[in-house]
Amino acid sequence: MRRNHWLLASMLLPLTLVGCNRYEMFRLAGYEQASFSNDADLVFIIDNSPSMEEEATALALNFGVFIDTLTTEGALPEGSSSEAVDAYIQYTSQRGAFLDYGLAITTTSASDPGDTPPGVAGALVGDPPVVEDTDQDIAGTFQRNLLCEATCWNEANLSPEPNFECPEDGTLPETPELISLDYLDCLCGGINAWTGHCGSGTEEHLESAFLATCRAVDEETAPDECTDEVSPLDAADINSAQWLRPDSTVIFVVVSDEGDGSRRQLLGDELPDTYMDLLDRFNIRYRFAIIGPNPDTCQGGASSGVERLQAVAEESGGFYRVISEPGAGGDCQVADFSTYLEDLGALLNQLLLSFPLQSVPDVDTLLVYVDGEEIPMANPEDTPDGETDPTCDCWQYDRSENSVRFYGSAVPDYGDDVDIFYKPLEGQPRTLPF
Amino acid sequence: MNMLIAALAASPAMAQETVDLGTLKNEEIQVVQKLLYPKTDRSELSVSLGVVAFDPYMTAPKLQATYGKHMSENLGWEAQLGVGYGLPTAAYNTLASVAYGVSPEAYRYLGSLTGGVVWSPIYAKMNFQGERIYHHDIYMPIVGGVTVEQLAWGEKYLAFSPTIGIGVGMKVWRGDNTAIRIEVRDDFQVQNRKQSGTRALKQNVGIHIGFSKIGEPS
Repeated sequence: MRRNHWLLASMLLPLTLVGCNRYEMFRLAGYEQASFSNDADLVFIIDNSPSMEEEATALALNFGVFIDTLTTEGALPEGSSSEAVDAYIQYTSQRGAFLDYGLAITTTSASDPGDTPPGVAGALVGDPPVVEDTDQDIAGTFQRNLLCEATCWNEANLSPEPNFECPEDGTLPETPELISLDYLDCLCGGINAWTGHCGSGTEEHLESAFLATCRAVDEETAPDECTDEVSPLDAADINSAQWLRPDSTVIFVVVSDEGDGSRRQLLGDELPDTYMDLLDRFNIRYRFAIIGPNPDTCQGGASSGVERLQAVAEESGGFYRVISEPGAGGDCQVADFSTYLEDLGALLNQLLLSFPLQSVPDVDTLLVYVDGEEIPMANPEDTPDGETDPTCDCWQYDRSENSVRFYGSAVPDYGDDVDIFYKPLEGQPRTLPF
Repeated sequence: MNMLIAALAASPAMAQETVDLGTLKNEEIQVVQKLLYPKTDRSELSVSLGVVAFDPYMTAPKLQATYGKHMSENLGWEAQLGVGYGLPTAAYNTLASVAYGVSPEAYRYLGSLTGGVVWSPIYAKMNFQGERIYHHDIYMPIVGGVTVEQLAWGEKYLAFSPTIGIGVGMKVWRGDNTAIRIEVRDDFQVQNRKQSGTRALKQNVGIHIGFSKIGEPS
């Protein structure tokens, strides 16, 4: 009888092991082409020091190129099937038309220089502070915010234009070939309404990006550093600016002729680790597109902090372009901003082709699905000699951006679900809840 | 005088010696009641609804058909065919959400075919609230077979896994030929997981409740 008890107990023992199943964990990057990756929030961080007048003008005058690159279309039309077909053709031929973007401007002045110009400490300038792609005159409104509130003008450098005709119906004036006193008075809505907006002599590009983001999130999301002893913000500033949309990609566009002098890093720090760690804590996808100093030739004195700007552009998957270049006579001239703005438009369009991964993957385990169908990975023979992009209908892992990029007809279409599975090389980036 | 002589000759009074008439000792008692519903030489067909529970990432509703035969009151054989479909749990969905972006290499239950012996060491009756007596068996199925499962995402690879199951159940008799059957069975399977190239031991714990039809003795 005793032996039977033991037999019964030993046979029931396995039942005590329930729930012990173990699984390999794969990272999943899931996107929906229309609702996730086509939202882009651009924050221009403008150097509003006196030396930047010429560059700000170049940015304003060429801004139309950027808008043209993106086009002004905002959303797919709804209605008949023929309209849907038209929209599909338009989408596949010009994906940028379906980017949903917002444009905001702050300045590199993280501290108030004394006369409280607009855009200090990550605050947005202009009214409205966020220009949306559905606005009537996107380029004009952006120009007004930039030239009237984020540019340090020297009145002596501006000439009058007596023949300038300011529209009386309240619309924004046409962009002239040359910025004049009368144009600024008209654009800014009053005589000398554009003066007195010079910022701090210490340009803090990364601190301004951080502070602007602090202002756009709620108290739970904001790191403690948003309101610590070195921050100019207090609790009332948190969640005071509404430019950051859920799941959007943030692009910080820095325009400056000085290196970064942000307060949380030492002057000689070449890597932007402190600020990238802080921005990572907002749990946002971000890139830096930087039009910065050319330390080799034109801004030799501004080399301090330039490496940091170059590094943050590279590590975030953005780009770095020089703000001025030597001209034919050897004098430095403002670079061709139209090209840079085209690059920025291309970077935005690229958001629809590249899907970033949260962790560095074991590439052999990457699996990519679009609407449930597996997409093949590019083979070496798919890339012709001298080319960087494969010619196949496939995807390729981009180590520099830690993203999966699609090519050919494999590029996900409007509304497609994109699922990317992989095993991370170094465990999970955050603690799992179970 | 006569009385004196009789008293001297008498011995002290003694109790009568115990006579063994064949009374059962405790250790010899095997049956305490009448076995109202015998099983020997009877077949059994049952249909059960169940759930494969306790896995952290998949839960499968399941339908199981069982056929078997009782060779004696204690021992029989049976075969089971189960079909179902594993559904992601809340934990799986949370992990796969944007917040965590993690997909466990979880396989969903699709079906199983098993067979083996059933040991029924206990036949008993119980009283429910002082009103009704239920006769019931406590039994243990010990089975082997194959389980078919499918990766829940991606290429949705199928896995045919050798399986050994052991469980415990109760068969509550409702009459001479019918019974309610409640069973918990733990199926152990060795699963080849193609996505990760690994082999893992996996447990499927099924909880079943169903209806049995017991045939006449052959």
